[in-house]
Amino acid sequence: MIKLGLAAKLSIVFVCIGVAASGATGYYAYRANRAMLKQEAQRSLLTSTQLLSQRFTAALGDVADDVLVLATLPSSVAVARGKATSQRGRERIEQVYLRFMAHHPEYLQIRLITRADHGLERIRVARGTRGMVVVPERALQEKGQFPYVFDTLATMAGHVYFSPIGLTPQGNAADAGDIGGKPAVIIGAPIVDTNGKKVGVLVIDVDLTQVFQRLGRDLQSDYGIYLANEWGDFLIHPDPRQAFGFERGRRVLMQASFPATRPLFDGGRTALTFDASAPADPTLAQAFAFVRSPFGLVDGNRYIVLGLSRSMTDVMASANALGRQIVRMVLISSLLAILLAILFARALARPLRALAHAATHVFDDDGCEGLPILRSDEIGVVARCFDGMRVEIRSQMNSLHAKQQQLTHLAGHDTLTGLPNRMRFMEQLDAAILQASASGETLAVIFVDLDGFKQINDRLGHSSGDRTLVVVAQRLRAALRETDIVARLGGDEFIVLMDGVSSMQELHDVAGRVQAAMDEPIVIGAHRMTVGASMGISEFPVDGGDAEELLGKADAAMYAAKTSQHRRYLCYQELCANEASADGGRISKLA
Amino acid sequence: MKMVVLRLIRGWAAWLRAGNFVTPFAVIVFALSASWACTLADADAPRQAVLRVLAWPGYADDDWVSAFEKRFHAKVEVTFVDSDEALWARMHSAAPAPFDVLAANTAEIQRYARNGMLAPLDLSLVPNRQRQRPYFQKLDSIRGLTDDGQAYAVPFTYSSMGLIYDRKQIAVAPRSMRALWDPRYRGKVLDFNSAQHNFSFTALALGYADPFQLSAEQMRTVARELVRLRGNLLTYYTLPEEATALFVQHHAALMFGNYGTQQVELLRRAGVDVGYVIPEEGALAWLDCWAIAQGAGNRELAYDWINYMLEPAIAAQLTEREGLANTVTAAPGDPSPGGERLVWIARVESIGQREALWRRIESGDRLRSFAR
Repeated sequence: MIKLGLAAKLSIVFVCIGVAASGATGYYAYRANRAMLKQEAQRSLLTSTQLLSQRFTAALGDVADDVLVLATLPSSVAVARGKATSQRGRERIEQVYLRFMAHHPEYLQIRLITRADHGLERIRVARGTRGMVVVPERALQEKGQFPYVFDTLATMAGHVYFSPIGLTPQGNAADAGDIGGKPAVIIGAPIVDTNGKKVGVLVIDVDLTQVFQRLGRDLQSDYGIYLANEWGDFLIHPDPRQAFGFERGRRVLMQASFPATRPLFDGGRTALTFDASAPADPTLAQAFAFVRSPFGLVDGNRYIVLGLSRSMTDVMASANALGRQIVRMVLISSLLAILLAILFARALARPLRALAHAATHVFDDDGCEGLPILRSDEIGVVARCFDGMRVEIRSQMNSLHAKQQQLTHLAGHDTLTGLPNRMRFMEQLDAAILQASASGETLAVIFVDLDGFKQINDRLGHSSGDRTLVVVAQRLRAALRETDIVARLGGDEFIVLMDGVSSMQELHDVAGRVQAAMDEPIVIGAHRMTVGASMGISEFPVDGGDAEELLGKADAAMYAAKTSQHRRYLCYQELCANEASADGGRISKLA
Repeated sequence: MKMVVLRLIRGWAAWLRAGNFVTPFAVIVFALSASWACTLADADAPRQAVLRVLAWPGYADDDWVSAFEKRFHAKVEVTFVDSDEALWARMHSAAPAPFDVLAANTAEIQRYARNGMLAPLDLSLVPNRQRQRPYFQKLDSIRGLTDDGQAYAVPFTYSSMGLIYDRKQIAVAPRSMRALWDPRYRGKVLDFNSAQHNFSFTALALGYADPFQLSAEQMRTVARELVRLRGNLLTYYTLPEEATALFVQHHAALMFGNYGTQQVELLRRAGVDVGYVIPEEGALAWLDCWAIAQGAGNRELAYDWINYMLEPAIAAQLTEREGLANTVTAAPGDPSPGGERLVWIARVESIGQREALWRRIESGDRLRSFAR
């Protein structure tokens, strides 16, 4: 597992937060916008539908006005009664009807129907394939069996009858032309004579497709118009096969095609909107708005349901465009978030790294470089605390070191003379032996024992003795080479280690110099004292391989010299040579 | 983040180690074996007997079908049709027809039988015929059900087209359809808007021997009679609910009951005190029968279906649910329990001619434009 640094972790966290935040914001902006657009589209669609419904009602009202005007034409009563004298009046009326038909392309027929003769048509002006025609008398029919006749006759004078919306009959008469099979409403008014007797009716057949074409002219072409009667049977449907299903024995109900419209028929609501897929193409989203509006004036509880649909594709297109924009923005802000996160994490991690560096290099002088002690924030506080701590630790450690050095010095040196002590000397001797045996050099150890020290000590006191030892040490040091080691073994015994002794003569010279230095009187207060010393010399490698042996042999040689009358110093080699050539008593002679 | 994932994996591993994996494992194995079993069952399905039924709504209700399936260990596929034309189209959608049993009226049965699309029936395989009323057992007395001595269909349900009258306005029950022409009821008569039945019942009322095969002269007479009838009408109706509304709203006195007892029931529910008569000259009626298609895959099962449809329980439910008369129990309100005065509708001499004439009559052409 890769160990992620603090900066990397922080970066990842910040990036995640940044990307998530911008992503979520973008997503919700997109959703909200989409919902808003949808709502807006539905709302505007509903407005259009309501407007269309109002216009439709108004259009039917206009037709009703025309019907009333035509029903009250002066000659109408006479024509309705079928008086032979009304021929001129009849022709005038026909001309009026033709003019009305010409002005209203949605009028399929205008008829004047008498009450008598089983509702025989007196005048019928119809729109056919060959234009408007006045239907000849022989082709006129009895219409008394139709509700638009008997129901209109039942209508009060000055009032208007609206038939249910139906299909115009498939014509069998030559004059019917192409008017068959169209959704139509028949609007009629009774023709009343001066006595208030209803002598006939005037009815206009209105082609609703024409009406809606006119009303929906300002609608976009992709709008679908739906119209259903109060039972939900489709009367107008973008797919004509769905309209007037009951005429073909198969009802197609709006409530079944669009279950969302059910509240309109339950009487719960008068307008509603919803989204659904298009009936023809399930992949195509459409918005629907349906409005229930009263229809007809005969009895107030009849109504129609009018609906509009429009494709949501163009609405959603702008939402999707915004969506793409949002995606881009989210990507850019995510990149920014990544960049800022990295920068921020680095800015946060750098002082921490500096602190860590300072902690690991607390004893280096440049260890505290870059420590952000000047910052005023928490990091600055931490850095300052740390710096103070570091200074404290350093001073403590320095004094500790000094004390340790002192202790080390004390352990290896004689406090009085400042010379290395026995222990120290033995270490140095061991080291010198090791080095010499490697390089093949020779060493010499001179054991110096003061002769008259005891008398000085006894006569002049210990302090004078100590001073004597100091002077002796100084002189010894002075008499020897810089590289030679002088140590005090204890009491009045000193020892010298020399390396690189090339000849016996040199050794003798050194011994002579030491002897001369020892023999020089020492002034202590008013006293001049001569100390003198006996010396024994052992050599490496001839006299021994280790420090103890060399020291012992030098000691032995010194002891022989002290007891000898003539010699102040002796080499251990000489001692051996004497013992080999004669007995021990002859040593002094030889020396 | 890695840490979290690892921890999750570890947790999951621990969960697996803990033995909890046994349960989901068992579930998966069970699901797999179940789906395997399903596949096997599916593979088995074609071997299970399938009965393909072509019928009208109300003739093969779900509960009847499932009871049949359980009893005969078969699968029933029901296709509903709502018109004779749809039935014809379905029967001709493939050759041989992709159905085993079908329900059709006598006229249609005759047509299918003549076209060789029906299998002659072995009536001994329909023991429940013994439960039917005697009239419906005598198949050769019903036109269209037998051909050349072979029976092709078994009656199932019927409906008469009698005369409905308002007992408040008409004290004595009319005895003939001629009552519709009675000027006393002018503007209070309702008629059904259809070419075939209007011609047929008028022909019956005129006393013609075969109301379905009119001579040219008879046709002219009937047409003129229908124009006269129009003069006596309030209006024509199409749907039974519409007829009820008109009857109530305009205080109608008489009505040609195209939907028969169903319509009587509707009117009584609407609070009108109506009577229903089968005229002395006889009333038109349709009789729907079960038949077996020529290419039926499983005739045994088809016979089982027909026999099952004649059970008293089914018959009673048919009458109760649809308001249709059945052929097993005597309908209490049916004035013609033997069916003697019922004239089963048959194919007419010319649908086109009747309809052309009817369009003129219905839209109001005057009497003088109809030839004598």
